[in-house]
Amino acid sequence: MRTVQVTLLFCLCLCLCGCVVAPGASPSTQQVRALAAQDDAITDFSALALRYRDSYERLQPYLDTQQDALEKRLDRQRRDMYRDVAHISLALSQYLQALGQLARQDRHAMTAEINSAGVAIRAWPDAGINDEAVTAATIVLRLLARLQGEAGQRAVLAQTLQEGNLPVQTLLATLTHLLSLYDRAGDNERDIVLGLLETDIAFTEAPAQRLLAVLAKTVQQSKKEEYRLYGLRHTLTRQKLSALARQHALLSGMEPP
Amino acid sequence: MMVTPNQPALAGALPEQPLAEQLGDELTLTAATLHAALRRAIARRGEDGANAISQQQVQTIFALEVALRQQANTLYARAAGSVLAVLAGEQQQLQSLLLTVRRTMERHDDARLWIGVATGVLNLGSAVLSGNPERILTQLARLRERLP
Repeated sequence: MRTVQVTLLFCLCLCLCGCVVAPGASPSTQQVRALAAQDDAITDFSALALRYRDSYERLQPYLDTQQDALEKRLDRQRRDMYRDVAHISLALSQYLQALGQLARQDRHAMTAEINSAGVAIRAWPDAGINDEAVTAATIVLRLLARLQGEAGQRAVLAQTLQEGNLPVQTLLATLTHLLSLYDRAGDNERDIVLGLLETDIAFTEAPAQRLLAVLAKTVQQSKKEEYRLYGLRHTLTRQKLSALARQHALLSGMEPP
Repeated sequence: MMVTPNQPALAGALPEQPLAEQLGDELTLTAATLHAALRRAIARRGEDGANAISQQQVQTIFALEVALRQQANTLYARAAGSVLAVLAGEQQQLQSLLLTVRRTMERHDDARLWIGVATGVLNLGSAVLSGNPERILTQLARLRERLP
């Protein structure tokens, strides 16, 4: 008899489980956590935005008075713009962090509820339920609660991703566009710095200028390497931003950009 | 006819952000062409003898190159931060003209010509930055005259 009761309870629970399991389309918490971990794209972008903002400091030693005056004006513009750019980056990174937290939290564990349910079962006035049955029932309840909780969590995540997709795509596209402008401006900065070194080095043939030539060539080498590495960082960051946009769209069930 | 205060002064002159960006690219390319020519002239100094490019000429041309790059960066900043008020219809015209400028500079290795053309491009750039359609048209016409 007891076995029948327990079996019935199991069946009831399994039926309930079938009702509450989320449709397969919603992303798993693991997928969302992986997406949230892609926020290093934003960190990398922010570092490059900061480098763009500080262009004047690097250029200044290579400019004459007139060029310096123009660059100073540009410096103010870049600094003003940076504030807006920092806000966009912050908004995106906060969103991704929140998403990660949402996917990590054991939001629907309901441990307390399950334990009190176990007590209630035990205190069922119609006797005939032994400890074994109570334990079995509690395990099933816990399983049910976990499934229900997971389904609930996944539903919340799916909804968040769907609602967030449009603004996220817009902001990521903006960052990508800005990055491409920073990249081109950075190339001009590089060509001014390296160009001045190159044209000046060409006229340091006199023996008295030998030391100057050697020093200038050393600076030229290190500057070439610096700009080459930042060029690579630009490429990598662009790829990361694009991967982030694609993955977000995929998990939100939208067409990737 | 009454003009209401809210009516834009130039109906066709809607701000176009991509224009600033494209012009920035054109100025950058012009600077690169100028630099390539400069580099060739420096490399040829030994062969050119008395006609070799002087350090002062190199500095003058390089200063033009820097000005072109700074102007390009100003346009990129403009594209990033705000919008550029310029006649929309002028876009194509500017593009094809700047292309001609670059081709011309690639063909001719005459320092005087580069200086003239690069100055023309520079003036055009500052006219565009000023957002004054009349100045843009004047500079366009002047640049055309300089082209062989």
